[in-house]
Amino acid sequence: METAISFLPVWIVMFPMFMTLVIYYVEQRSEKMRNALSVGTSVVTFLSVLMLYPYMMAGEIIEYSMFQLLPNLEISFRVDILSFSLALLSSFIWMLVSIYSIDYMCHEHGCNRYYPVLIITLASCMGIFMAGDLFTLFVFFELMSLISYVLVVHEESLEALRAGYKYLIMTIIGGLALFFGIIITFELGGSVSLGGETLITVPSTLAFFAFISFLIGFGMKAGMFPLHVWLPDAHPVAPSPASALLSGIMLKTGAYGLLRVIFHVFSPGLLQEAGWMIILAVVAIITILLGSAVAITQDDIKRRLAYSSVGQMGYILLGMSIFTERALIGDIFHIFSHAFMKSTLFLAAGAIILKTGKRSIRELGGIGRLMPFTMLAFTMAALSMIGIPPLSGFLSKWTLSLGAMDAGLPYYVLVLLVSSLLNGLYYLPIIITAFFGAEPGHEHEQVKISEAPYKMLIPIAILAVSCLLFGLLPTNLPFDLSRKAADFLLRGGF
Amino acid sequence: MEFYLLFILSCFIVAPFLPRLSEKRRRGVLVMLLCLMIFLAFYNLSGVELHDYSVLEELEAMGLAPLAFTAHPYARMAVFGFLLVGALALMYGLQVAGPKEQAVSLVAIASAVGIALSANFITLFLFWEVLTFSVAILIMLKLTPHAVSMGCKFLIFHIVGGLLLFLGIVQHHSASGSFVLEKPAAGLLFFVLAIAFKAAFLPLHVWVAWGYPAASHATSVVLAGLTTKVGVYAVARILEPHPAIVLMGASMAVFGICCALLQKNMRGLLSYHIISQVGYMVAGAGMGGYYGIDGSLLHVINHMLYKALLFMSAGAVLLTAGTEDLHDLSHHQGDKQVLSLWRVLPVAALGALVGALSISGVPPFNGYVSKYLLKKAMYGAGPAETMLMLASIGTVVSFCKFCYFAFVKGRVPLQRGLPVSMQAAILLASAACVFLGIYPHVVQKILPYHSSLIVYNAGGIVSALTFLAVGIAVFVVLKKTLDRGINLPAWLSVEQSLYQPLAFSLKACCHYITTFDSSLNTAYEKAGGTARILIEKTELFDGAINEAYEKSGDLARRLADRTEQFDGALNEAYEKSGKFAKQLADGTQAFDASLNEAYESSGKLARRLADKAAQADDTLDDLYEQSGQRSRSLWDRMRGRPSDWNIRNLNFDSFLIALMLGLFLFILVYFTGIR
Repeated sequence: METAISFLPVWIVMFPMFMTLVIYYVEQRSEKMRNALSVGTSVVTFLSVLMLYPYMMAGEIIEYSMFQLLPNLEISFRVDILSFSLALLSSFIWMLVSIYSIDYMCHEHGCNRYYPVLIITLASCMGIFMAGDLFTLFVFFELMSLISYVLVVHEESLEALRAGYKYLIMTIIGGLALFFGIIITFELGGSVSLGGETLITVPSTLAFFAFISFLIGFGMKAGMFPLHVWLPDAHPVAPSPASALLSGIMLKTGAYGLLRVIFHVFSPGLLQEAGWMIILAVVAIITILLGSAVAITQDDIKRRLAYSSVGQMGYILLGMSIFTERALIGDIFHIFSHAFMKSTLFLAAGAIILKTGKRSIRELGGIGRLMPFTMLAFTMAALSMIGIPPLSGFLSKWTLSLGAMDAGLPYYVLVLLVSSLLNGLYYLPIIITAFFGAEPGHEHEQVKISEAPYKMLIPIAILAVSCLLFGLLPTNLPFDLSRKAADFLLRGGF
Repeated sequence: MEFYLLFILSCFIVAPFLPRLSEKRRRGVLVMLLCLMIFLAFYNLSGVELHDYSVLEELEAMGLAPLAFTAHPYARMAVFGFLLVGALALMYGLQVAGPKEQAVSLVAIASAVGIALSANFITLFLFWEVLTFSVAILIMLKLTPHAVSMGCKFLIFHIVGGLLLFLGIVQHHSASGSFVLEKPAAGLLFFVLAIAFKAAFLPLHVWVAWGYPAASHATSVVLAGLTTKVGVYAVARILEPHPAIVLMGASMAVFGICCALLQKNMRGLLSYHIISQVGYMVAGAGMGGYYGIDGSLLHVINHMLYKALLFMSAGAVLLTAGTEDLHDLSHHQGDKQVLSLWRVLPVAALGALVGALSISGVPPFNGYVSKYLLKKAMYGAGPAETMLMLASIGTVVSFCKFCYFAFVKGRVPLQRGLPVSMQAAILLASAACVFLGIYPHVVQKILPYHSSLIVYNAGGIVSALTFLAVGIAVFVVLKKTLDRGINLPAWLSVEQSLYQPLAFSLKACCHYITTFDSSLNTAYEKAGGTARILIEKTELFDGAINEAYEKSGDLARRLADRTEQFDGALNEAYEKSGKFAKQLADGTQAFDASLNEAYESSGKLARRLADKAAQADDTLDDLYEQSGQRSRSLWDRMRGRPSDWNIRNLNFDSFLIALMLGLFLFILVYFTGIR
């Protein structure tokens, strides 16, 4: 039994990878089978992750080493509470998105390419979260980054190809920086394993280079200023379910990597002593303000959401630069709540675009009366984004603010609030036009716009309700997980 | 306490389903809730003790505080007002308000009650935001573009206020470590600002004039009662008494009156009066002391009553006459036979009169009581006292204007009758105004400091009547001017001079940042371009190297040609020398033959010698063969067995490497298939 559990991480990563091949084989014959298998795979992956729950709650750490490539360089898996939290979140959202995809993608071309890629990205994402050392993490990180290119360019329009090219270039730069960082870490620490001792213990020029390299590598993925430029291009052009995953989950891999780097490669004490965290803090503040301010000027709904993601990732980056416990709880909880909020927003926007074909916010007048449930979900997530109680965004912002105050940094709170106001300024007009705005006159086209099909509505509804439930609900699984993970990182992480 | 929470909860639960019910059922539910509200208001009035109550204790572990409720003495006053006026407003809108408006009104009233009862900042903030959103939705539900844009402005204003409150609470918590609702330990500035938004402090008052006149006539009654009064309650409850607050209140009172006099729109006028009256309350709360607080909170209740009454009257005019513009009402061109509005709308006119007398502080209406207390509190407060007196006179003047132009001079044909529920609400509210004026002791038990409510003495009545007389006199003098209307230049408006530049600069800032962002993008692209140019240069350099090789190749070929020529010449020279050599060889041959002969003779001797040597050689050969055999067997042993090279010895690692390689190949295949 013990060995079976320790094999579970490998199973979670390898199962979707294997299923990709199966789907690839099956899809030549039956579309229905393909859809069913995709959903099935993501459901099984989610359940497999869920099976780890009792072990994680007992504080166990599951390790499994697959094989050694070179001395001290191996492919290994390691699941602790932080990995588990993110893997659970990701597989949950993946499951909902793959259900959503069935109806969304049925009007699209190239589904036979979309589904296998969706599933193999899931596998690589699980690989990132469950990696036991930097090398494994790097391998899966690159795999995910490169494969999600296929999702970005799915539309095959000129715009998509351009955005995809930019994404690819940035990804490669990030990957190389990451590689550089890992090499230095290996040189300084003699190992790249994430489980054991802190790898770099002495601040030196070389260590600083490593830190900067990690910052570039993971920060690129997390949409950190000034490396965010690919994000507002790449996320809107992808099909909506893919945008939801790109914004909701894949950005978080960057944040996850940085958390690992800060707490396992370096240590908070070292980073504070060396004063390197100030770089991350400054960049995060710029990211927050820039993302929020630019979002206001965007008219394309998905582009606005993408810029909003930039701002929100700034919160997460800012949160990890403060080493108080509450800030870290808020930080990890914001990963959760942003994933719920942003996937709701993108999926709802996708439903609207699918039904109306309109992406411009000015044209969305009265859509709330035609698609009440979709817009209600959108509203819930948007209000959560602004930080209105009792939604989950409020709780994460609240905890982050208290954490910043614990560290004696009231200006950070001010930044958070200015950004919240800007969030309000760009989300409220969408909601207000949708519910109270005049409908554009249909003189020529009398197309009746109806509510989205239920297979799309259910995932949206589940996510929107999550935004509400994980706000002020007393038994709050994501909050418990964040608290445990923060505790683990600060006390048991090294 | 549980009753009150149950009420709040039932409002929140009922509201989403209300629009789906049939007309009849909806009214039934509303009447039930209405009765419940009136019951709760009077239950509270009886002075019965209300226990503290808290739910969701688990939130404590999440760094928050449980939702806790307590009946603070100030809260009881506010709750009484909110419930009573809420009930009247709901009754007013029973027949005319849309189902969604009714539902959101319920939420707004419930959240106002929630704010009043909250025991800690978390609960306060929660209901604060709910109130903000529900009021904004109430304004926007009119669905006209004007109402929507006003509601949007309102919402943004109050979101800023809410965020400031958030900041204040966070600072307070980090300084004091507790969320209990008390005077803030830190972040006072943010609390003041946050409350300033809700209580419409100058120059943040603009939302009152934006929001209230824009809403539909049924909902503006609900609005008139809630938002600003919540602000006043928060001033009394959270802020310390301070002379600056008194001064702010007094200037709000004067400023509100001045603006109200300029208004042409009935509800616009009333909205500015809200600012003015809230000024009185803020001044009282800022003074502190028994009379200050009691007067202020009593004024909250009274003001809610008569302001709701006035909004009801204005709404009745709007509903029946189709306009609320005082100028249009009094200068209606057409049939001269049309009667004055007070004759055709007696109930509305009565309501307006009672409301006007109340707000002017004329005995025996309720405004007199609270203004009397406030006057007592303000005694000796310096300039503020004088300002409030001026404001009192201004109030009389503007309400003369209100009643005179709307009901006496107003002659417009009615488009429809006044529904029963509206009439009933107006009459009830009027009765309440008079009742509270004549018999104010009913609220004695819930007054926080139990001030004496024996207010009818000669001095008070005389001064109140003096204000009334002066006000009417001023109105008579100014009648013509007020009729024409006074138009101030646009730049004088706070909105134009302060908020539009602010909004513009914010927008400009955002655009600037967007430009920065796109320039960042361009910079990356330029860097890419530079890299490409660099690569092209490298290619040129590469070409040059190639050329150099080619040139050197040419050189080498020419060199080779030369070498060939040289070679030919050499060849010729050799051939020539060959002939000479042949001749030489012939000579040598002859010499050789003679030499051969000589050798043959010596050969015989040599053969004999060779035979001897051969014998010795045979023995040596045998020796070599023996040693050869020995070394061959050693070689055999040194060579490996071929059977060792077997597939079984390929281990699992190699297999996995192969698998990974295959995977990457698969990806590669994918990439190539994209375009």
